[in-house]
Amino acid sequence: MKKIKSLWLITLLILLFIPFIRISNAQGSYVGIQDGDEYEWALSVYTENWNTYVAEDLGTTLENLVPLGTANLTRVFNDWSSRTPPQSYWPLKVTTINVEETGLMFTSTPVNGTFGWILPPSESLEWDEKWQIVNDTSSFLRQTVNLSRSFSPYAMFSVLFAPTTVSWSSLVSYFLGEMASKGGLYTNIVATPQSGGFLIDIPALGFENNSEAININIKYNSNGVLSYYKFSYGEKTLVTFIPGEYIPVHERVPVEYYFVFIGLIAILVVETIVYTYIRKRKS
Amino acid sequence: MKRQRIFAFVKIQIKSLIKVPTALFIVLILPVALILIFGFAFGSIYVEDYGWTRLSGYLFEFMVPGFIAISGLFMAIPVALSFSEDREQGMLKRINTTPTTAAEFMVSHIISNMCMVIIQVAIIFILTFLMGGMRNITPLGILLSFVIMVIFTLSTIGFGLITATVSKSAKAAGGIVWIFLLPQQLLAANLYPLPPETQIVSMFMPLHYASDALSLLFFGVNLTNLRIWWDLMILVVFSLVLIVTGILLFKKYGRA
Repeated sequence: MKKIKSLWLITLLILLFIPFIRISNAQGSYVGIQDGDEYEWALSVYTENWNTYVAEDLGTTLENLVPLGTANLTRVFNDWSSRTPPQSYWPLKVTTINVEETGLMFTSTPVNGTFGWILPPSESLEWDEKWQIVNDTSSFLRQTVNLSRSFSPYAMFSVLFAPTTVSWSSLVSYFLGEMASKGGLYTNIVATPQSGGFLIDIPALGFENNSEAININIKYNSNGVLSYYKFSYGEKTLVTFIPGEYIPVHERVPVEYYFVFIGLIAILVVETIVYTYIRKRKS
Repeated sequence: MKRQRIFAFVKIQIKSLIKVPTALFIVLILPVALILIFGFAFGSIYVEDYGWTRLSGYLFEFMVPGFIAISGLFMAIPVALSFSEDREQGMLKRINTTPTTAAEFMVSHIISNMCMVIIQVAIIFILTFLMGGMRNITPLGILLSFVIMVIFTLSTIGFGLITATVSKSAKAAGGIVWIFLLPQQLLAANLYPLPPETQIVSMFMPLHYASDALSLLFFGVNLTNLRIWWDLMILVVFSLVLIVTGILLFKKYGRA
């Protein structure tokens, strides 16, 4: 009788977990994300560091060499420079991960989701978006248009997910091969693999009119989700796009609260000691 | 501690609070006046991204939590007055000759003031509801508001006791108590937007935590919001510190 009761209890407990079970399509081994995953990034534009970029009209140079159209870096500056960083937050929710498909350019797993921005304190916009997670390193290089998407966070929006199987050293060597075949100023681009990503460096005058060096740092986490993006010019950070969740002002606990709390606890302890001492002395 | 004795004192103190015109004005008439005046004046002004919360709503809705907290704060006046008067009239010395302990007397004061605050808050809630200023607060939020105010009362009693200790007469206490009340009323009630530096100053005042938590509850912020619980936690410790300080000081210097 006891055994039957226990079995019933276990069955009921298992049934309780049914609402939390997620059924998803079998996905490629290179896909590290799942249905329902949510991510958020904070976009920070450091306006005070853009003087040289603007003075040298580096935007035009970059647009000539690595054309990104409306997703270029100058657009990012124009959109956000009037505010203090982080200017905006970019939430992404994965709704469905579809079956792998083979296209003309590459084999990939389509990811459907919602993407948008939050402009603190209360403005926001959300839209449906589709991403492709490609199945290998060379496809990822093609997807990033020979890493040219690295030259602007807006351009990175289409490659927020990388295959988990990507070999960063292979990616860099393929990239350098591509640049060598292109020749000219492209041969001045230096790329280095790093754990979970790569670095792109263009030395001063590498693109002819850049008086300072350009440095781009990009990393993906073990699930293939973009975890770090930084564009620097002359060792000054122009823009970062890194994971960060927007917490509305009214939900933030000010740091002063902790100090006040600790201070009050200290006073209370002292008072208790004094009180105990007085009582002991009286008795 | 004998419960009967405590409740007998509670009865006496509530009766005396109602009989004293100043106390009656502070406890009942002032909050009503505040709600009516500001309700009619600012009830229809809609503001966006207002104050530190950066929330949107009617200006009156932003003010009500501050008024509730201020009403609770003003309870320090009758406390300071009654303790000073009791001392002046030799009441405390007479109590010492009875079986009533100091703890019983103190607890009765705390309970009677808490009762008055509960009545105050209830009146403000009813009036605010009638004036349409309670659009977002949830029933649980209302309940938590009472809890916050009851805890906050402890700190106001602490202020009252400290005032009674340092004042030589009831008249002096009526003036000195404003040293504690005015800065809090002006800087910590969240009635209007303040610069960040002033907000930091207000964090050293218990009223800030009461009005802060009440503001969040009034705007229907989820009860899982950590800030509400931090407010409550700091308010509890603040109240404990003030009440213990008040009792210690009053015991040592205020009973003469």
